[in-house]
Amino acid sequence: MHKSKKLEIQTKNGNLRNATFTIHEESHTLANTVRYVLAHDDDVNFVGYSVPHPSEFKVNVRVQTQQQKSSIERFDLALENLCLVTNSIQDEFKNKLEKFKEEKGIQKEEVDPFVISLKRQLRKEYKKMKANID
Amino acid sequence: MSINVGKEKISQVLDGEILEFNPNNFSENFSIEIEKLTKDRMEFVMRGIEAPLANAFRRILLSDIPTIAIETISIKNNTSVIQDEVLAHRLGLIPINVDPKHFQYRPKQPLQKQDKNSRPEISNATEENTLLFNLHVRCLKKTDWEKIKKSRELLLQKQEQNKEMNIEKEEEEEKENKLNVEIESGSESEDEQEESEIDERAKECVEKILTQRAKTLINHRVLSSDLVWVPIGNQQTLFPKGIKPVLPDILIAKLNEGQEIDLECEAVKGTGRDHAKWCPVCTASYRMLPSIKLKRELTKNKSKKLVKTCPMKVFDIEDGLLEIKNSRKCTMCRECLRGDYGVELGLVKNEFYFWIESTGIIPPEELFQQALEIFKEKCVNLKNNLQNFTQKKKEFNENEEEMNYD
Repeated sequence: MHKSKKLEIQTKNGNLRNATFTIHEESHTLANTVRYVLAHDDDVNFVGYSVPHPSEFKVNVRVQTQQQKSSIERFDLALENLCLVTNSIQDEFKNKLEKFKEEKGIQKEEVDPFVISLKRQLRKEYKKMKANID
Repeated sequence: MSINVGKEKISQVLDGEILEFNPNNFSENFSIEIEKLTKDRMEFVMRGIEAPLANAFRRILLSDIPTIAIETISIKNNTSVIQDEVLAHRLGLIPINVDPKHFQYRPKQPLQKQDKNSRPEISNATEENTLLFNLHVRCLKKTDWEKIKKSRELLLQKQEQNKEMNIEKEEEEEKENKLNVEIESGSESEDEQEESEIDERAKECVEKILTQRAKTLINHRVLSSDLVWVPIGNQQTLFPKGIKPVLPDILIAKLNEGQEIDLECEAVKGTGRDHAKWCPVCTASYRMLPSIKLKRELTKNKSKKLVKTCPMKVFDIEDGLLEIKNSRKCTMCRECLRGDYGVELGLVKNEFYFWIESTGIIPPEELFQQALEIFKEKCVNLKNNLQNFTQKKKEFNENEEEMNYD
């Protein structure tokens, strides 16, 4: 079994200023995010992505840079920035979650959903019965 | 978004604000507020983040978080009205309450030439990647059932030490207990007056509400609680409490007298991208928070009219002044735009109201954290591939031309 490629880079005559990255096993989830980060990069002239065909699980990302800059470097930097951003989101979420749980006094009990749903059924039927009597 | 053309910079202006993305400043402007958290559902607000990132997390929640669901079944007997494939489809959709971290993906079978004499073997199934469930339900008349019970008791007295008969007795006791579970479960409750009242009345209630059909038949409804876990290998020690579906009362099929369902299920790890049964969320969605602005001052009569026209009661008059009270309740119905009230309606592009409804397998706060982790993994994986690529190219180019930058 051969290992499938993840990434292919197409350039013209090895000129790394303008390159098309073909990423396999990826979709809009990653490609749109990378495009968004690269669009706010001052050294990047043009960035865009496309999904060549919805049946094929791959994306093409096109990056064109300013003078003397490598598109691979910019792409690499964008991915690093995304990791940093995700880290700060993770930290913020953890902190806020702990605060919320403390405030609301949520206990970490494990309740069996079986028992809960049976109790719920019984309560419903009790209400019905009561309604019928009344 | 900015496009560099020579020295000039053209920036896209969104709603009068220039939204920039700076990874260094990100944590200063970013904040999360958790609004609601139950064991099934989480609602929270994210500020300082934009659509591509928020959408990425939503997509990962739907498609890339693994869970475990029934994939293949071997049917020994199915005399019910439900077709085999429909039954298989329904069984696959039942959420199973087990943490998928303990399991691995089952590798796909390699293509092999099959001889005429060889039997197809499921050789990739091991205790590390498969869960076995058994479903055996037979619908009988109560009177027949009691006869069978009596005859079996007699046989038991005759053959006490026979192992097979003991196993059958356990199966029958399970079926017998199924009826009693609905009535006796009330006795498991805590010491509260209300609950004891409910128990007694519930017993009467349950008996009354059971239909004629149900009175004369047992096991006429096949529920998800009838799925029995069969531990293989060391699974019994890993999961001492047992493995069950998330809810016990999911209706799988209905049987009439004499009909039987007897099958074995294999549950496997997978992701929502493959089939929706592996999706860990009922849904994960977001909406952007509305931004409502009043462009000019209004007369008293007009402000009263405006307060009336809004169906969600977003506007309110306090101290004679018109105020925007509950901007979050706005559903963007645009009723306030119809009259000449000078209302400006829009969406705040960097505030997202997220809600995650879990199926019960993984709690929603853990789901979001897993989604963030998976997103990071994707970025890191791609980064490593990039580095490999540049290294390979360097080795290749050392013998040939240098990489040129124009």
